[in-house]
Amino acid sequence: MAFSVIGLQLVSALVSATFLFLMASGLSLIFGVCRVLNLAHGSFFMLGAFLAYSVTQVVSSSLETFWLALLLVPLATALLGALLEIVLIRRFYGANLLVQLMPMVALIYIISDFSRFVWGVSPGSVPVLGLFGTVSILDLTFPAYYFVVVLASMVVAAGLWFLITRTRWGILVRAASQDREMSAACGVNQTRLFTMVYALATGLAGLAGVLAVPISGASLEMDMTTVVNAFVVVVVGGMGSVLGSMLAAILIGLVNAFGILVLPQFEMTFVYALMALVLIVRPTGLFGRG
Amino acid sequence: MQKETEMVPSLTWLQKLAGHPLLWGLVALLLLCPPFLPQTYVVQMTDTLLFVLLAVSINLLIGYGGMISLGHAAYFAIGGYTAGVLVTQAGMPMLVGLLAGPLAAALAAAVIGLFCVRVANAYFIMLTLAFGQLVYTVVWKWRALTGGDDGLVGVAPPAILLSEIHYYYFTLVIILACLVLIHRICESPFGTTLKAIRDTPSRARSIGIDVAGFKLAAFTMAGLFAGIAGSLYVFHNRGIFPQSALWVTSTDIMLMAVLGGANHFVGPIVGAIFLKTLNFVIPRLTEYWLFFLGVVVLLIAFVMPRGLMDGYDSLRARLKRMRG
Amino acid sequence: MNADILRTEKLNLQFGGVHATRDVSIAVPRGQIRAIIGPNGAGKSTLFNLLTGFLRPQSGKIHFKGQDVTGLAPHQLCRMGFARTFQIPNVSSNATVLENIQLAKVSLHGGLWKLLEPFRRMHVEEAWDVLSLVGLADQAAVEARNLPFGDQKKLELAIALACDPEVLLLDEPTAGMPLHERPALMGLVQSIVRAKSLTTILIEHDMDLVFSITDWITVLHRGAVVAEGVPGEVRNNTEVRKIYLGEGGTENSGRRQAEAAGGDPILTVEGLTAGYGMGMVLHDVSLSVAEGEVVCLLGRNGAGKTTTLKSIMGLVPPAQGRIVLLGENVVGRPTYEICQMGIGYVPEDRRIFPDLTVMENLEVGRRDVAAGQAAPWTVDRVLDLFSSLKPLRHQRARFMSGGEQRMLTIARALVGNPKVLLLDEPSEGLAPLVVETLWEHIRALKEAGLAILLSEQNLWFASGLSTRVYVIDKGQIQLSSTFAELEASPELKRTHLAL
Repeated sequence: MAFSVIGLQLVSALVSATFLFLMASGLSLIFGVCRVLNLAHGSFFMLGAFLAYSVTQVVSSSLETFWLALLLVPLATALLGALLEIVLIRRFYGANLLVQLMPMVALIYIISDFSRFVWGVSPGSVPVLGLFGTVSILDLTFPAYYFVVVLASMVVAAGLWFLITRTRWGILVRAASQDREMSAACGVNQTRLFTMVYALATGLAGLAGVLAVPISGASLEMDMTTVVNAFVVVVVGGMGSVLGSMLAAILIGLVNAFGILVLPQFEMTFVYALMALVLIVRPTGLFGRG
Repeated sequence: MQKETEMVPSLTWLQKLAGHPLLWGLVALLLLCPPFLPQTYVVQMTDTLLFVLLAVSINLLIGYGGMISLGHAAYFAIGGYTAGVLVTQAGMPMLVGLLAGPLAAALAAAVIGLFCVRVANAYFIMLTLAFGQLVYTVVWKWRALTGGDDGLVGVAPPAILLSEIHYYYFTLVIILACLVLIHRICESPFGTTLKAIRDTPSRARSIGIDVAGFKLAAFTMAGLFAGIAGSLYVFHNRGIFPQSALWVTSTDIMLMAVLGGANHFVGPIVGAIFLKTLNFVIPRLTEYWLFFLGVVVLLIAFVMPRGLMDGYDSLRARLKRMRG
Repeated sequence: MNADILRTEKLNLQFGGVHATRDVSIAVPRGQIRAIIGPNGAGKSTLFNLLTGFLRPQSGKIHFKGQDVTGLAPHQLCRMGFARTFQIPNVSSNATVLENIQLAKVSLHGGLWKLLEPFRRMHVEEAWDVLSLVGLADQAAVEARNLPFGDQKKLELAIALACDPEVLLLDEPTAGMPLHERPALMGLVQSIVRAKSLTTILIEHDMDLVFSITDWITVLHRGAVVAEGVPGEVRNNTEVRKIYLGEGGTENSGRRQAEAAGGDPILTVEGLTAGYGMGMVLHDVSLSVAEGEVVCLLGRNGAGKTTTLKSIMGLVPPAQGRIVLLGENVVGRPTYEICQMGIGYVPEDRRIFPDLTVMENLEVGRRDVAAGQAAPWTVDRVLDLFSSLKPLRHQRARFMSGGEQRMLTIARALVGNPKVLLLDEPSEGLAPLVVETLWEHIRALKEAGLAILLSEQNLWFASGLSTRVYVIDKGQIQLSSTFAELEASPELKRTHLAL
C-alpha cells in the first residue's frame, strides 16, 4: 500500500518536474543572455496548451494529431516569441527593470484576454491520455503518457545540453551570458543572438504547454501558476544555470509530491520552506553564480 | 542663518498644501460630492480610496526604495482575511479587526521581507511574486478558516457604518490620515534614506546606513498600510475572496504606482484614480478589460515610461519654455 | 602606546586563485597622508574595499585604534570613524547637493529613524559648513546629477568629510577630471586634512600630485607591498622603478632592433575625445597605424591608454573625433561590426570567458576569411604559435594562470583574422619569464606582417617590436617619435616617462 503510494508520487513528481524544467530553463536562458525577466513566459506555455487543444479539435483527437501538435505548436510559439522580441521586447533591453516590466505585464494581460476571446473561459481538454494506454510496473499501473512526457523532456534536456555545450551557437550564447562586452568585441552579433535565444525559450515553453495539456487541460489560469512555480525553481536552482534548473525542478517536484501526502492542504508550504532555506544558505541559488 | 532661510523655506506642511489649489479642490470634491451621487458611484469611490492607499504604500518600495514588489496583494488580503475571520469566526468587534488586520499584514511582511530583502532586482520581483502566490494558495485552500473559493462572507460593519455613504466618509478619514502619515515619513530622514539606498546602495552603506535594515523596515511598513486597506476593504465589501490575493491584484497595484509616476508622491494617487476609473468605465463597454489595460500599459511604456505625473511635469515645463 | 590609528596584519584575499591582496601589512600613524600606488590590478581598490568593509579578508586582521575591526560591515565601520569616497562619483543623483551632505550628517547624529521629523530642516547649518569648506556652497540647491563632473568629485569629498571621520579614504580623488582642475582639488584636499590633522589614505594615479602632498607612500604590486617610504625614497627605489619603467628588468640586449616598416595607414585616429559619463579621459588624441607596423602607445597608469583602445572598439563611445579603418569611419558603429571590419581587441584585464574552455574561447573569436587570402590564422596555427595553450585545450579558462589567460586573449583575437590588433598592456602583471615568452610571440606576429597598436608602460617591452611611439599622459598625446629616437634620448625619457 505504502509502496504503491510512493511509486505513484514518484512518477507524478517526475512529470511535474518535467514542466518545471522546461519552463525554468527557458526563463534562465533569457535572463542569462538578454538580461530581462521574462514574466510573460507562462503566457507562451498557456498558448502552447491552447494551440494543441485547437489542433486536436480541428483535426481529430487521435494520437497522430497529437504528435503533429507536439511538432508544430512549439514552432509556432517560438515564432511568436521571435516576433515579439523583434517588435517589442528588444526596445526595452536598455531600460531599467521597472520599465522592462511594463511590456511584460502588458503581454500577460493581452495574451490572457486573447486566449479568452479565442478559446473561452471553460478549460479545453485533449483526451489522448487514454490512447497511450497504460504501463504496469510491479503492481502499479501508470498512464503510459507519463513516460512519454518524461522521455520527451529527457530528449529535450539532452538536446539542450548538446546545443549549449557542443555547438558554436551554444558557445556564443554562453560567451554572451558571461561577458557581453567582450563577446561583442569578439564580433558576435548579439541582436540576432538574443532573438534566437528568446525564440528557443518560448518554443520550450510552448512544448511544455503541449505536453501538459493531456494531463491538466488548457485553462486561463495556467500561465501565472506555471511561471510562478518556474520562478521558485529558478530561485532554488540559480539563475543562468540549466543544470541547476534541472536538479531544482526534480527536487521541487519531489518535495511537492510528498508534501501533498503529509499536508494535503498546504503542499506548497514545503516547497516554499525549501526555497527559504536555500535563500538563507545560498542567496544566489544552488548553482547560481555569485 | 541667512543661508538657511534662503535654502529651506520654513513652511509647515499645511502652508505648503495651501499652495496646491488642485489638491484642495480634489479634497473638497471628495468631501462634498458623495451625497449627490448614486450609490454605485459612492461604492466605487470607496474602492478607489482603498487602492489609492495600496498604490501609495507599494510606492514606498518601488519609488522610494527601488524594490519592485509583485506580491503586494498578499498583505492586502492578509489584512482583510484577518479582520474578517476575527469578526465572523471569533465574534470580535470591528475595531479589533481593524487593528489586528494591519498588524497581521505587517508581521507577514516582516517575515517574508526577511527573505526578500536579501536579494535585489529580478530576484526580488520573482520572490515577492512567488510569496504572493503562496499566500493566495493558502487562502484558497484553507477552507476551514477562509471559506476557500466561496470566500469569507457576511463581514458586516456596525450599524452606523452600514450605509455606503457613512462608510465612505469613515474610509476617507482613515485613508487621508494614512496618506498624511506616509507623506511625513517620505519627507523624513527615513524617506531620504530609502531614496539614497535606491540610488547608490554602496554610498548609503559607506555613510553608515544599515541597508538591509531599512529595506526590511520599508517592506514591513508597506505591508502595514496594505493591511489597513485590506481590513477596511473587508467591511466595505462585506467579505473577501481569494482573488484579492491573486497576482493580478498585485500587478494592478504595481501598475497604479508606475503608471501614475513612481517618482512622485502623488503619482500613485493619480495612477490609482486613473486605473480605477478605467476599470469602472471600460468593462461596461467591452468584456476584454485586460486586453484594453494591456494596450494602455504598452502605450504608456512607449510614450511616458516614467508615468503620468512625469509626463505632466515635462508638458508643463515645455509650456513654460514656450511662454518664456 | 600605539601611535598607529590604523594597522593591518597580513591581509589576504584571493579571487579564483588570483591574489588580489597578499599579506598586506601596513600601519598608518594618526594624521598622516598616505598614498597607495601601483599599476592597474595591483590590489589598491581591493585593499580599499577591505579597509572599508566592502570585502572581507580571507585571512589577516584590521586594527583601528587598537581594536580589531576585521569583518565589520561598511555601515558599522563608518560609525567607528571610517569614511571613503568612490572613484566614479557615487552620489544620490536625484537629491540636491545639500541633501547629500545632510543625509550623511543625519546618519552621523543617529537621526535616520526619526520618522516624523522633516528631513529638510535637519542639520542644515552643519551641512552648509561642509559645503563651504569644499567650495560647493553656490551649488547647494542643484541636483547632484546636474553638477559638472569636477564638482561631483568635490561632492564625493564633502560627503566623506560630513561623516566626521577619523580616517579618510580617497579613491582616486582627481580621476576623470580635466587636467587643469586636478592640482586645485588636490590642494583643497591637502589643506582640509592638514587643518584637521585628519588621517588620510588615498589612491591616485597622478604621480606629480602624489609626490607633492603625501607623507608616506606604499607601493603595491600584484597584491603585495613591494616598497614603502617617504616620497623621495620611493621615487628612487629600484624595485619601484622596475615596476613602473621596467628599468633593470629583463635584459633587452640581444634583441634585434625593429626595422622600419611603412605601408599605407590602416587605422587612423583623429582628434579623439572620450570618457565615461561626464568625465572625459581623452582629449584630442590622434594617431595612426600603417600596414605591417607595430606602434606603441606608451604611458603610465591612468594615462588614457586603455580608454583609447576601448574607444576605437566602440566600447567607450567617442564624444568627438574620427576613427578610420581602411578608409571607413567606424565611430558610431556597434562593437561587433568594428570587430568584423577587422579590428582585433586584446583587453588589458584578461577578459577571457571564464567558464568556457580554451577551444570554446577561440571559437567565439573565430572568423574565417575568404579563401585565397594568404596564411589565415586558423585555430591550429594559433595553437602552434601559443604552444603552451595546446595541452590546455579542454581546460576551462578560469583555472589557467595569468600568463596563459593573457595568451588566450591574444589567440582569441588572432583567430578573428584582424587587419589590425589592439594589444592593451600585454606584459601587465605577468612574471618576467612569461613576459619574455609573450614578447617572442608578439615578435612572431609582427614578422607575420600583422599591424599592431600596442599599449605599454614599459619602454623595454616595446623595444624590438615597435618602430614608432606615441607617449600619452593625462589623456593627451605628449610626444610622437620613432622608437630609436626616444630610447636614445635620456632627456626625452626623463621628461615623459620618469616617475
